[in-house]
Amino acid sequence: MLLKPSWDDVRRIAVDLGRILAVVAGAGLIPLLWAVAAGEWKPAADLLLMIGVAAALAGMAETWHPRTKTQPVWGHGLIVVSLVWLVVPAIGAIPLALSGHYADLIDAYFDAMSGLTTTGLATIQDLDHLASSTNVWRHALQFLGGQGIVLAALIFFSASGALSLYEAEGRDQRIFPSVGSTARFIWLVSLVHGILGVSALTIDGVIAQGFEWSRSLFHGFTIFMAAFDTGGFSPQSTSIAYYHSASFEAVVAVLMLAGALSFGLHHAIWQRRAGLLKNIEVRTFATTVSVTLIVTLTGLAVAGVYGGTSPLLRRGFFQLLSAHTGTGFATVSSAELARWSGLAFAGMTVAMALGGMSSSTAGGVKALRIGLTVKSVIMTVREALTPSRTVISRTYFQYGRHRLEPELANSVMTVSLLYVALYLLGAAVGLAYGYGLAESLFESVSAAAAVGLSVGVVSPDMPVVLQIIMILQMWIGRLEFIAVFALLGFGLSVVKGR
Amino acid sequence: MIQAIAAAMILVLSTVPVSELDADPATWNGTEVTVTGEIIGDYSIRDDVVWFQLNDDPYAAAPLGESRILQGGNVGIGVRILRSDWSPGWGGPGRYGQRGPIVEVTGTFRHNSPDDQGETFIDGRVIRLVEASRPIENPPASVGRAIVGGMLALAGLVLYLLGRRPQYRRR
Repeated sequence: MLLKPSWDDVRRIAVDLGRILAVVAGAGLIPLLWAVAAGEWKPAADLLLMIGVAAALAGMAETWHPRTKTQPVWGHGLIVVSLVWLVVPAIGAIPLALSGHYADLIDAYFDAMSGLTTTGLATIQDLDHLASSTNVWRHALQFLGGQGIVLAALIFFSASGALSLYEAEGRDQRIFPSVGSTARFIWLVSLVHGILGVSALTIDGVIAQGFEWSRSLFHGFTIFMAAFDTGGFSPQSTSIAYYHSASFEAVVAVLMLAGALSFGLHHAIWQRRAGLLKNIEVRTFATTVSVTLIVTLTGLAVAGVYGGTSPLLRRGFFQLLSAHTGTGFATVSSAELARWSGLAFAGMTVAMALGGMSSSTAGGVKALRIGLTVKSVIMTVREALTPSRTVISRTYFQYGRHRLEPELANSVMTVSLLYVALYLLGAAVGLAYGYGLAESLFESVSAAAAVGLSVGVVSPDMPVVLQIIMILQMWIGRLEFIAVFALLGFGLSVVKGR
Repeated sequence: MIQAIAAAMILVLSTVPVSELDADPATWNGTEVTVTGEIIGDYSIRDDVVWFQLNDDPYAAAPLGESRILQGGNVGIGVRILRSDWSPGWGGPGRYGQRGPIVEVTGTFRHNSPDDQGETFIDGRVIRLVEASRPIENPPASVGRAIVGGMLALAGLVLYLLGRRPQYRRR
C-alpha cells in the first residue's frame, strides 16, 4: 500500500531544495560581477533577475524550516536531488532565454540542462556574439553540475540527511567518514586544479597563441570549467578547434582526464597510496581507453582520414579522450565527425557509452560498473566450466579486497542495462524522425552519457519531441536512475497514496 | 542599415560559402577559394603568421544584436595569413557589442592537412578589407528586470534571515 506523503514531508523537501537554490543564487554573483566589470549591462540585469528568483524561492523555503518536524530520511534526499536537477536548469535558463540567442524557452532549458548535467550539447544561436558574462554563466552551470550543487550546499549548510543527499547525486564513494569533509576535499581538489588549469591555459593563450591577456584569461577560465567538469561547452562555436594549438589541447586533455578520475583516486594519489594500479576501476578505465583508442585510430588509418601519423594521433587521441571522459570538446567539425565512419565511429560511440570513473564529474555507465560486470560474468562462466567442488574466488580489488556479492553484481548489471536501454530509447526516437541509425545512436549516447559531441542532429531546428527526450536522457543519465525512480514513486504516492 | 545591406550583398557575392567547403571538403581540398566573412573572437598572432576565425554566416551581414533575428548557428573556418598581411587598423574582431571586420580572403583550402597537424583551414594568400569593425547597438539593459531581480533578492534574504531567527523558530 502506498502511503500519501504528509505536508511535513513536502516541507522537508522544500527546505533542502531551497538551500540548494541559495547556492545557485550565490553562484550567479560570479557572472554578475563579470558583467559589471565588462560593462555588459543588459546581461547584468538578466543575471540579477535570475539571482532574485533563486534567492526568493530559497528564502520562502527557509521560512518553512522551523515548522518542519520530520527528520530527513533516505527518500527525501533522493527526491530533493531529482527535483534540484529539474528546477535549477529552469532558473539557470532565465539569463539564457533573455539573451536573445535562443529561439524559445525549450532551447534555453535544453542548454541549461546540458550545462548542469555537464553534457555540452547546445542549441544556442550566434554563440560567437554572446556576452562574455552569459558565457561565464553557461560554463559556471557546468562547474556547478560537475562538482555537484548538492555537494556545494552540504558545505554551507549542515544537513542531517547529508548522506542521502550526497549519494543521491550519483556519488557512492565517501573519501572521509564525514560527508562534509568529503565535500570540502572535492572542492579543494577542484580549486587546486582550477588555479593550475586556468594559469596554464591563460599563459598558453598569451605565449603560444598571441591572445590579449584579458581574452586569454576569459578563454582559460571558461575552458577550465568545461574541461575539468567534463562539460564541453566552449566560448566559441568551433570548440577547441578554434585555438589551432597543440599545447592548448594538451593542457585541456590533462584536465579532461583529471575530471574523469574519481575523487577517491585523486585523494589516493595525493596520499601517494601504493597499489592504485591494482584497483579494478583504474584497470578497467585504462583498458577501455586503450581498446577504444586503438579501434578509433585503426578506423581512421584504414579510411585514410589523415595523411600522416602525427595528425592521426593528435586528432584521434584528443577526440577519443574527449568522448571517453564525457567532455565533448571537438577539434574537428560536426560534419567531419559524421564522416568518421566504420571502426572510428564505433570506437567513439562505445567510448562515450562507457564514460569515466564513478564519483567523478563524468557520465556514462562508468568504469567500476563495467569492471564488476565483466568480473561477474567471467566468474559465472568459470563456475559453470569447473567441477562443482572447485572454489572460485569471488573477490575484486578496489582500495582493498572486497567480496563480489551477488546483490552487488545484480545491482551493477541492472544499472548498466538501464543505461543501454536509455541509449536505445533516444536512438529509437531519432530513427522515428528519419535520422540514420548511426547518427541517432551517436547523439543519443552523447546525451545520455553526458558527453556533448554531435554529428549534427542537435541544432536549433531539431524536433521538439526529440529535444525533450534528450533533456530527459541528460537528467536520468546524470542521476543514474535511482533518484528519478524515487521521484516517480513520490509522485505516484501523492496521487494514489492513502 | 545601409551598412548591413552592403555587407549582405558582399556576402552573397562570396565565391564559396564555408558550408559548401564543410559539406564536401575532399573536392575543395588543395584548391584556391575566396571566402568573405566576419573575423570573430581573437587575433592569434604567432611569430610570422596570424590565425583568426572567419564566419560567413548571416550574422556577419545582420548582427543579432541589431536585427534580433535568429538565423541558426555560426558557420565559419579558421584562416591563417602572413603577419605582414594583417593590419591592426581593421579593428577588433567580432564579439558581443562588436561586429568584426568584414574581409575577403583568397587562399588554398586545406582539409585535414598532413603538413599542419591535420588542421582544416584556409591558407590565406590575399586578404582585402571590405569593411572595418564597428560597434553593434545591442538592446539596452532592462531597468525593470534589474529592479525586480534586486527586490526579489532582497526579499529572499529577508525571508531567509527570518526563517533562521530563534524567535521565529520557537513559534
